[in-house]
Amino acid sequence: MLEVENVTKEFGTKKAVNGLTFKLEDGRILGLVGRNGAGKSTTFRMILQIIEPTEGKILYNGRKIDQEDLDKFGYLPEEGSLIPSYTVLDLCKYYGSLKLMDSKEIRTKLISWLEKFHIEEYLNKKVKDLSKGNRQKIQFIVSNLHDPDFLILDEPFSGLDPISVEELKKCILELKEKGKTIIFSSHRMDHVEELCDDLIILNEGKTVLQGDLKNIISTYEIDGKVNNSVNEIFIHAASEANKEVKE
Amino acid sequence: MNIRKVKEIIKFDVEKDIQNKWFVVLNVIMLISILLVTNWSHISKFLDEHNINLSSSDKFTIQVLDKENLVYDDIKEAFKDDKNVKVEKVEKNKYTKKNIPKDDLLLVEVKSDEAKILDLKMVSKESIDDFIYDKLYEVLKDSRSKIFASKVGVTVEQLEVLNEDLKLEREMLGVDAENSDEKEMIKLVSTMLVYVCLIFVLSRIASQIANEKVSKSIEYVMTSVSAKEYLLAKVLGTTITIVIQLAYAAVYYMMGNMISSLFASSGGANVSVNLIGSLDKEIISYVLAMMGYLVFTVFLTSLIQAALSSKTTSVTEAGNTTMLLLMVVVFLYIISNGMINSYTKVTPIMYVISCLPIVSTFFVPSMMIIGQATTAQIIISFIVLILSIPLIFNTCAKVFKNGILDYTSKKKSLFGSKKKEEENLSLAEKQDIELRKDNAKKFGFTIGMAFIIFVVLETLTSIVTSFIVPAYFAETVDMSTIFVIENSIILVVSLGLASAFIKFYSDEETPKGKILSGIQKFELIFIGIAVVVGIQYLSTFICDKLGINGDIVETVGIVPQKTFFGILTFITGLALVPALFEELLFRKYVLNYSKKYGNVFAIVFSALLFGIYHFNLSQGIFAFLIGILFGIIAVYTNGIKYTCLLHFLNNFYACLTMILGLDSIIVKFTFNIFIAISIVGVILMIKNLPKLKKIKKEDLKINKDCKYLLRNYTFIISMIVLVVMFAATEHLLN
Repeated sequence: MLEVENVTKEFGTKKAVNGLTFKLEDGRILGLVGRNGAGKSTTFRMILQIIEPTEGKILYNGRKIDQEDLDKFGYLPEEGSLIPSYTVLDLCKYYGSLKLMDSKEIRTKLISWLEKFHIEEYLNKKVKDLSKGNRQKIQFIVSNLHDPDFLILDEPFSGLDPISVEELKKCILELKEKGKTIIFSSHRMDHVEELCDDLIILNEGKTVLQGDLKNIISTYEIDGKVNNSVNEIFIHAASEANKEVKE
Repeated sequence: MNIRKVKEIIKFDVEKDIQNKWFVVLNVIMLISILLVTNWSHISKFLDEHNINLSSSDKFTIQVLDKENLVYDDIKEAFKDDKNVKVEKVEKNKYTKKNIPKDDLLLVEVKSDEAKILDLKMVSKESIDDFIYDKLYEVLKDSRSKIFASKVGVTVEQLEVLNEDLKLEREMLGVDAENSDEKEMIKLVSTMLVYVCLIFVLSRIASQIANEKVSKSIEYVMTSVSAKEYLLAKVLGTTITIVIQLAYAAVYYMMGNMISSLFASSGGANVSVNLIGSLDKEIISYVLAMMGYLVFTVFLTSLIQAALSSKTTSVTEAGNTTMLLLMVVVFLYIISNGMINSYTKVTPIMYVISCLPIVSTFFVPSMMIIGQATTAQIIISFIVLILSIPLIFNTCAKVFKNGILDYTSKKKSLFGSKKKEEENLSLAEKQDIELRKDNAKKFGFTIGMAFIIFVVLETLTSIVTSFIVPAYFAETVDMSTIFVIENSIILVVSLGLASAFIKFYSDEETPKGKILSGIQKFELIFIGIAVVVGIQYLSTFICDKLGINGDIVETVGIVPQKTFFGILTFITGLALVPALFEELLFRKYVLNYSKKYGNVFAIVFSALLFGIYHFNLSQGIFAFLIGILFGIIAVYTNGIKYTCLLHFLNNFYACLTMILGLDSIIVKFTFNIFIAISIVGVILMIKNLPKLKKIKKEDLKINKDCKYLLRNYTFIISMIVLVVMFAATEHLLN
């Protein structure tokens, strides 16, 4: 279980994340939505210990996250985090070796993943020769190569065509069935609606709305109506929050 | 620290490096060249034996026009064995520009000469084969010696003694000079090795880290390893690659030597025994120490390089940091070379300096070469190196951790408190400040660049004129006049182009001059002269009080030539040209351009520059004071007409005293006229005093944006250059 307690991150005088608190039970999917610069990536980077929070605690299974925990985490960074001059195999060897996998294991796992996405021919291609969508797939594979228990996916659907999006969604749901815990962020509310168990809406570092997705849909009122789509809820909640800020 | 992960990264990096195709290509080339070099003697012998000549073997004809038969026989004799060269005698030189000789032909024309012994001329189409030329040169030289020897009645051998360089054997008993040539050679080679290693290692680390940072893959890496582990792995990985490369090179060398010993017909001595046998103990210890230092230095500089490249945001920038580090290394090498050589005694301070990490790599081996290093020093320097590793490593790891995840290329303010103030401002205000800063920086750049142009051109033209001017005038005029001519050319070029730079770069419009009525003109000039005379007395007084040599002209030693041309040159060069061009730069462009920061700032700023520009204290003080006066006049009249006139009059009077001497009647008369004008000027000044009340307060305000001037590098460096030149000339004159 991941517990984030009252976490704040300041860059200079700007608060990128402001008092974020949530709990994520094992085996559930959490969707983190918000506009650009709402603090999603910062939250992920704090969970992964890449940067330290200014205030607050982040606990995994009741204790501070250490390197051993991190080795069981999978991370898909927001922007292309692949070294362009490496081939897909070299890259996976490099990243896999960082998770202490041996190169034989890396190779077999990589090939089976490539087959899953029908891109076996890219094994020895250089990253810079791949299209954006294919790079995103490789990135997803890299984050899953060491079979992590906990997955953090920052904008996993960006750059994918509709068919690939469906493939990836299927993959994520399969992973959930295997009992993995997943956090992901997205701009697309339809993805969130289909995949998430829990939802957090962030606006300028502050939590605007959070809780069980089904609960939110059945209780959140817009003009006296409930059962709105997540898209409508997001737009409404964000504009309400902006009004408060201005006042 | 997770050693296994570090090991994995190193393994991955090293394997990738070594299996890289370029690594293989580099090694093949290295192998071939080392084999060629080590076996060169056998190869050339083989080629010789099989009659394969590496140089050209075309037929060649040497025609000798030697009516007195001075050298023909010698030449014929010298080329007797050369089948490709034919020597023949001719009676006439028929070759001209229109009748060019063929490629394979050369004509030597020889006449006897009273002073030179031989008067020689060589005619050919273009440059000829070096071998033939060298041989011919030697023959002709020998013939000349022979002719001269027989003429003065000595033998050729006796003559050759004179021709040889003077041999002066130096023996320094206090310095260990044994094997010094060999040691110097080893030092050179080892320094080269240090550079090559550093260039490889540093550029590799820089590009790797920058690549991972720019591609943001570092985000992923950082979830698996800590910054420290990553840093250590990268640095060790690259160092290991280099060590492997060095080992390969050593293997190639040994291979080459072995092949060479196979060819060697007799003896067949063991190569390794030969190799070590030829080196003495000292050299071995030197090589070992050098290797030790090399490993540490490569490691430490790699750490620094990694920390630096983590701060960059592109691969190019990372490359620049490599250049920076290499420059530091070269600088250390040059310093070590300059400070430590056989002719100097190593001071205690240098012993202390030599123990510092990285510095020791260059200093201690240099001291070992001249036999002045102590064992204690070597041990201490190694201890310091080892102790500095955790310190440098932790510092670099900290920098690295902060830098590697920071993609913004933000500029940090030098003044933290002011930054906070600025943060509270609105966007429009911030943008306004940015714009004003940019404007001030551009102003600083323009002024700074103008003066850099001035300084560079002044130096360049002084070099050029010192060649050209004396060539034209040396026979007609004396040194002082030449000096004045050179000086005026320098002033016109350097001041003129500096002004032109400000004019074209600043896009500033020059305001139209104010039109004064006749009586105003008259009053202005009279008051101006009065103040100039006042300033003359004031500056002389200040110089006396400060004990500064006031008579700069006497120190330089210019004495005018009392001819019409001499006097004209003096007045033009020392009065007219400076009056026009100095006013152009300082009052027209610098002052005008500075006006946007307030009139007071413009006047003081241009006067200060004018003062420094004179490059000595006594003239500088006078120039500063008079610069203030001229500045005020230029601001008041919006032009430089009157300042030019006053400037000319001032310099003209100085010229008169130089030409005629202080006791001359004309000088005394002029002096009295100036005094009389000054008295009238003072009266006019008192009369015009009430006008001062008209000056508005706003006219005196200084725009505070001028402080941003100090943010411009070009401006600062140009001012430093000017001040240094000022100090240097002042020092020279005293």
